[in-house]
Amino acid sequence: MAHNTAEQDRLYSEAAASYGIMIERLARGYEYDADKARDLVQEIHVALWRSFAGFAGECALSTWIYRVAHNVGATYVAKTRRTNILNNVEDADIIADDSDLEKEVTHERALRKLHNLIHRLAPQDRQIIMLYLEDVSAREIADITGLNAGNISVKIHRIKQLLASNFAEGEPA
Amino acid sequence: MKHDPKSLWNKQEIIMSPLALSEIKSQALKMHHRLLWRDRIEYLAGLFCMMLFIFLAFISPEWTFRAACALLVAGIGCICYNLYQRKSEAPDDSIRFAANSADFHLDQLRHQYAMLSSVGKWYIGPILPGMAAFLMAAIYEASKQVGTLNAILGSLPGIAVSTLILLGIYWLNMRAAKKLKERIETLESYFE
Repeated sequence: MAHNTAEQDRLYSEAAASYGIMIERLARGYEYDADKARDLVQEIHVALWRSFAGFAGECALSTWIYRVAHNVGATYVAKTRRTNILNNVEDADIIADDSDLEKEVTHERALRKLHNLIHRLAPQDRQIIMLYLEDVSAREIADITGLNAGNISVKIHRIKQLLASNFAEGEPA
Repeated sequence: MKHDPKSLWNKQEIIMSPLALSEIKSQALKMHHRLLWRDRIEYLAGLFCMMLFIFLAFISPEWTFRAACALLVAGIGCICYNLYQRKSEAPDDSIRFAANSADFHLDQLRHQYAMLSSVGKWYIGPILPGMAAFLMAAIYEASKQVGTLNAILGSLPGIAVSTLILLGIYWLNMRAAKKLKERIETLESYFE
């Protein structure tokens, strides 16, 4: 366990350097407003630093960081209750039919659509879709979420379908 | 134009707002103090009520009221102790956040459910004897002046209001506990 503050500081610095950008992206996945997302980023960093006091290496550093970041993010969503209608990833059709993305769409518009799609999902599914987009392996997603591997495969399959139906020729389903 | 969602996500423009380690530590300390004060305010409110009933016991000439006040002070003390116990049993936030999502969400909801569903035991229960004793003392003392029947009839509004308040607290907590239980069951089936 990282009993001493120096070790806690070292682990935090390593995490901030390697996963700082991921944390920023993740915060935007939980909070669309840029200013509020910045506050959430800070909240995640504080939680991360505090958490390293109890890091005993029982899981990979990346798994630990993803867990803390997503749990803080999900708590933020629960506190702010700013979500619109939250859907399960299984209800993807509701989202897919929501709007017609023009064939010629700007990069910003596509990114906004991706954010809108993420923001409409329930926090648990939001977490999985963001982990998938971050290219985290199914095994690590299972470690982060606590879902079993079978369940993760089904969820990822549905996420791929959801993304494919919304982004025409994105990742194949 | 085709858009690969993974590429869209990973190449989004990010303006980093890095925080110095000293700033992180200072924010963590502020958060710790904020939580500490939130707890202290609850205990101070309890202490204030206890002081009030101790004062009432001192100025009251009747032993019945003094006994009722003593029971109320003990009851409030018991509530404060129960609060302290439950808070010290709850896992530290810094560790809690590092749990996997299933454990994190379910533990949090189960802890809240335990608090709400047992409100009768840890919150209402301890002050019931004091409240009952207070009402009985009022009836007993009034009966010396107006007779037992009139004293009982006169205290009925007070008894009704007190009972309604306690039942209201109980009902609200049970309703919230029921909603939490549904959320727990939904999450349990999600994480199965």
